[in-house]
Amino acid sequence: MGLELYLDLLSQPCRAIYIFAKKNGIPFQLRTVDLLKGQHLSDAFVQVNPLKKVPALKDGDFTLTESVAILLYLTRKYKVPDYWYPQDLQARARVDEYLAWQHTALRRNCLRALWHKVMFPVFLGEQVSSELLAATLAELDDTLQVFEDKFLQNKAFLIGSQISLADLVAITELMHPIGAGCQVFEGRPKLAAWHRQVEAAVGENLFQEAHEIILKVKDSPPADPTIKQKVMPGVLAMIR
Amino acid sequence: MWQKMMFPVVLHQLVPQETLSYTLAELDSCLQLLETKFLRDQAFLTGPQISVADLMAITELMHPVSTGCQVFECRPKLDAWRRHVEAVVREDLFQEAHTVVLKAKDMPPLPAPTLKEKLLHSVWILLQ
Repeated sequence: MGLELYLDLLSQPCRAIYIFAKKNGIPFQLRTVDLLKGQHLSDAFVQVNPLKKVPALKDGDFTLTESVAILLYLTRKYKVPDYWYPQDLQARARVDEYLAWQHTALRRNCLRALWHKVMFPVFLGEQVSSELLAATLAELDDTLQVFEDKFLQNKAFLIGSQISLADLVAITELMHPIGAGCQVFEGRPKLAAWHRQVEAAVGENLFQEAHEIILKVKDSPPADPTIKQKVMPGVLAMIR
Repeated sequence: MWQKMMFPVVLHQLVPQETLSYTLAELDSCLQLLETKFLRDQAFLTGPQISVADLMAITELMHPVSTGCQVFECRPKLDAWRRHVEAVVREDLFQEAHTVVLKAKDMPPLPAPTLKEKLLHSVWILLQ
């Protein structure tokens, strides 16, 4: 059995891994774990990842979780072009710096924006107060400012003149609020230019393919009550 | 650490008992994961030798320890791991690095209200 990637393209980190593997011609078997059907909570998947989260990777007997660890494992095993995770000490440190920051910053805000704006009302049938939604969107806005001022600055990509893992992780995060209908690139020309550059570097077809699900997420049917009950605790923990 | 100690002692802000209980229950679940997924029956988190993972983890756990949370009691595996890590790091260096956090509960309350307000804002963001 070759490389297996347990993914749901609804999830931001799964999209980053999917794009990375496809872009670099890494052969893998896609094992879809449908989060909205609660498949991440199944006994079968718990054997793969006891933390009940995607993404997960199996490479023979070796199982790995955590998206950043998975991206780095693929980078090292498959000898991808240097720009993804540069050999240069300081350039690599900048990628590491971004990957460390984004977990509790951009990832968190993008997840909350999607769930508060769309997933709670549409999928879970739960109203979100307009104050909470406004606070979430304001936090996202603050984080986008930090993203632009500290990380992107006046560069074409986050680390310099070429795409890296940092850009891939960032763009897949930002497609979450886009999927929710938030106009994150409007009024932010630097961010919009960066978005176009990253999409061109990835390849438009692959980018669209990876984002098909998130871009249709507003049309998700409501969860049936059993699914809702199963997934709710995990959702609440995830978006705290 | 903030809910059990820093808020009441330094910032003079009471934290409701339910919030604190919830936080401590979450910490407990995390410790369970640390033991069952990462540590398992190994000496260190990633195998027979110390790595940066152990260093990150032990310094995190000293935060609740400093507030009096009994993180290692009733968790013999975790306690054994802590002793291994401390031995490799060397006890004197370990103690030196943790002098400040271990005395945090004796910190006086913040005197200046403006400083308290400024800090409160960043702390709320940190803990959200």
